[in-house]
Amino acid sequence: MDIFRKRHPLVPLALFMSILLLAMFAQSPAITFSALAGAVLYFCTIRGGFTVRSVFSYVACWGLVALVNPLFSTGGATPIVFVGGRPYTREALLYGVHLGAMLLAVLLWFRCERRLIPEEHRFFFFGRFAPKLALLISSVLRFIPLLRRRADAMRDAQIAVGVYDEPDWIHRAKSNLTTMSALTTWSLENAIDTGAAMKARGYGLPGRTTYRTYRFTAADGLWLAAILGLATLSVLALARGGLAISFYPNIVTAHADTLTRIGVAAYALLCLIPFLSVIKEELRWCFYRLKM
Amino acid sequence: MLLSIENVTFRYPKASRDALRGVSFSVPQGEFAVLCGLSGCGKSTLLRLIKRELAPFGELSGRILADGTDLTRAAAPSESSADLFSARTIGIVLQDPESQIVTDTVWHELAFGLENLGLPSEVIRRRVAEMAAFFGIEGWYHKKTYELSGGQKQLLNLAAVLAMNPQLLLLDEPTAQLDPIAAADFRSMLTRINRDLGVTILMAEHRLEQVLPLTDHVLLLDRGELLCDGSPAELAAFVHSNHHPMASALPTATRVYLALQNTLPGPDSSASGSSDTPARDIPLTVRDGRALLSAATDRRSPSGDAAEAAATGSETPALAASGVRFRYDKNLPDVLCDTTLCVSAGEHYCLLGGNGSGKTTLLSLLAGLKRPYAGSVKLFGKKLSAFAMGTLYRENLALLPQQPRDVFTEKSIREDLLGAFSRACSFADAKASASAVADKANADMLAMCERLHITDILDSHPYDVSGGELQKAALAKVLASRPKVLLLDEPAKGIDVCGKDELAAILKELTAEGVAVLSVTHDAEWAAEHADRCGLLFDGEVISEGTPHAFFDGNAFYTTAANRMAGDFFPGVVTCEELIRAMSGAGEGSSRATEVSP
Repeated sequence: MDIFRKRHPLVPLALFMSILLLAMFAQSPAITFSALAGAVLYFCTIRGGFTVRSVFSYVACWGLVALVNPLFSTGGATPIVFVGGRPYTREALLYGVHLGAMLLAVLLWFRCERRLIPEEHRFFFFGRFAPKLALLISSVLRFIPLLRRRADAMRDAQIAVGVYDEPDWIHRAKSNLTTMSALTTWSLENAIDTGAAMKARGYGLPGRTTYRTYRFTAADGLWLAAILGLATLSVLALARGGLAISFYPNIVTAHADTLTRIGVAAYALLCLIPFLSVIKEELRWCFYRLKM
Repeated sequence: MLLSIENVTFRYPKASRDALRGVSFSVPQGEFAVLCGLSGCGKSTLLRLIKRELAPFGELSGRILADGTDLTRAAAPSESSADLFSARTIGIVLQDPESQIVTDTVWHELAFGLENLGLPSEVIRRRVAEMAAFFGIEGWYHKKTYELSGGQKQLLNLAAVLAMNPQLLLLDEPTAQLDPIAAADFRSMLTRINRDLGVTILMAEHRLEQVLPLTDHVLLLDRGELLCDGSPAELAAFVHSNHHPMASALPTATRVYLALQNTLPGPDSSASGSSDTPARDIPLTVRDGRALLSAATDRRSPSGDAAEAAATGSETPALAASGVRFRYDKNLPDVLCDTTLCVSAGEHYCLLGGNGSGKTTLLSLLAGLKRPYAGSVKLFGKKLSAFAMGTLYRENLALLPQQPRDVFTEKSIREDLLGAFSRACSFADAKASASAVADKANADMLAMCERLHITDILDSHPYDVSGGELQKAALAKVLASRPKVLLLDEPAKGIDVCGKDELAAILKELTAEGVAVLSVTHDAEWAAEHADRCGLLFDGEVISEGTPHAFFDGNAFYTTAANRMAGDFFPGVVTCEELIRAMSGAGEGSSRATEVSP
């Protein structure tokens, strides 16, 4: 599952960004549906990725966007029915289907990103360019769950000594305010202790370094080159205009030459990388078991 | 000498007396030394002075030498070389496991100190790996720090400090906030660090029961003065002969031995007729204690199970939970399953149980803070939900949470208590004028503080007083509403022997007045001495219940040290005093071996 766990964080980041940016700005069904297919296939391999409920809500969102778009946009030339005197056109419906697919693809890729980029690498850029900020984020992330737990404990303690007993909301608001101020005192006190622990462990000494759990290896270089190469091919195809489509008033697609086809294939391959990596791992295990 | 303290005197700014007075001692390389004493004796101050980054401000005289370098601020004022030396040479682990963690992931926490020392990633990778392996952290290496248990957090703090490869490790009551199992794990890790890595350790601790067997050098501080500097046996002899309060913190075996050393018909007491205790023979562990017992009693005494008073009356219990079930989420397993529990008026019930057995959850259900999804909780026969808004926590039920500071919201204890008492007064007499209420509240509060001996800390901030004092102050606030049922979550945690005894005396007074007290605790010794009834919560159910004698005598492992020692020699013995009494009876040849008093 953690296919990129041992890769340098630049690799999954480059993959994710190129898939996402192209899917958002290409405005072309070939690109959109490649992105959607890649995301859906990868999502199927994630345990707990799709549930009956989530599939239903995804499809419902898609359907809603598709069906609602013609109500607002009447630009198409082929009416299907008339709703309240306004034409409900085939072109607007198809545009809605495409728009919905694009939104869904972007949404799903964002959810895939959580799996593709290991959490500990997410602050890679901060760590590199703003190490202090990275440390700050890290300690804030530690502190938030702590604060929430303490807030609950303090509220419970106040309830049990009868502070929240007044029924009217002014008193309750006042009680909440008191608890909040106690919580502030606690967090300041906690910050002093944490500060002491940081100082005791040498924080503030000159020449602090940042520990990286990853290294940039030759394999990372190959991966990065492959991803950027595929992305460049897709961008080239897009730049030549071979992927252009206009929906209104009639659907007109540009003529697709060989280079455009190659570009689309490259993008599709890009989107399939996560899925194919999972399949590769699965196959490797099958062979491994067979040989035993 | 790795650490030498030479005639150190320290006074906090604006304090009326010295926090430390003429303290001198030294700790050689590779030693495991324990610094003991009651709360407020200056243990923490001394440790923080040794670690220069944490040194409090105040007047300091004398010298503190670590590995031959004077690290006091006067000798090396804020030089980064001295800071670097201190960061590298001395590591410190403080009491609260939570607040010492800096980052959000375990691996980053381990690397944090090494990053500060400016080491390259390759070196950090190796050190972190070594520490993770040594501490057995691999299993949770990728976890978030806030997902860890208290024991794991404290082990992580220790590992993170050790990754920096210090020569001297300072520990300030590191196990005070942990449950007994996690505390034992932590202590055995300390022994390994000391023996296998050769790290010199200086640990402040007031619970001698667990640490005396580990150490070879004990220092006793009392109000800033070093009273005793010697081996565990010398310390035991010293506190016993001087009637120092720490004597009741000694291990059970030691206390029994010291109480009976002149009457025991054993080889060791006949060898020394003088009042000087032969220091090396003093037993420290349950194993030593059992050896002592088998030497002292040549025959097994007849089983002396005393008749227990019939415990439960027929009247409605003060607080009753029946068939209670609770889970935090639909998809999670039950924390409590068909839990049934009764506490009668005038009774002190101690609920024991391991970590995560649901004790605290049960307490919040009983306090009406959470609702069970099946079963009922009744207060004097009436369901908790049937109490009208604002009546449950007035003159009925009160809960003292695990962290006593959670009940305080104001800037001084006085303000906080006054608020609580005036709420109680205006509830008791709704028609009284504001000034009458204020007067009565003030009088009530002072009376309560008098009773709990906390008048002198009234004007302090709740965060500035010791654990035992804060516990009592919180109890005062909770008692303001004159509850008939008092629920306590780990009341004996982290407070010293004097504090524990004082708390128990207060609870005894309350039960004598007819208040029902339910405390949830890990502390078997405390429960055995002070409860009227004990129960064990396991797997979501109260599985065994009874008077302390019936309860602990029936258990083989989950019991007091005295009971484990007495075992089959003196069945029915549960507390240290009983063992002493039973043994002196046996020594005099009396036929009745145990006189168990309820």
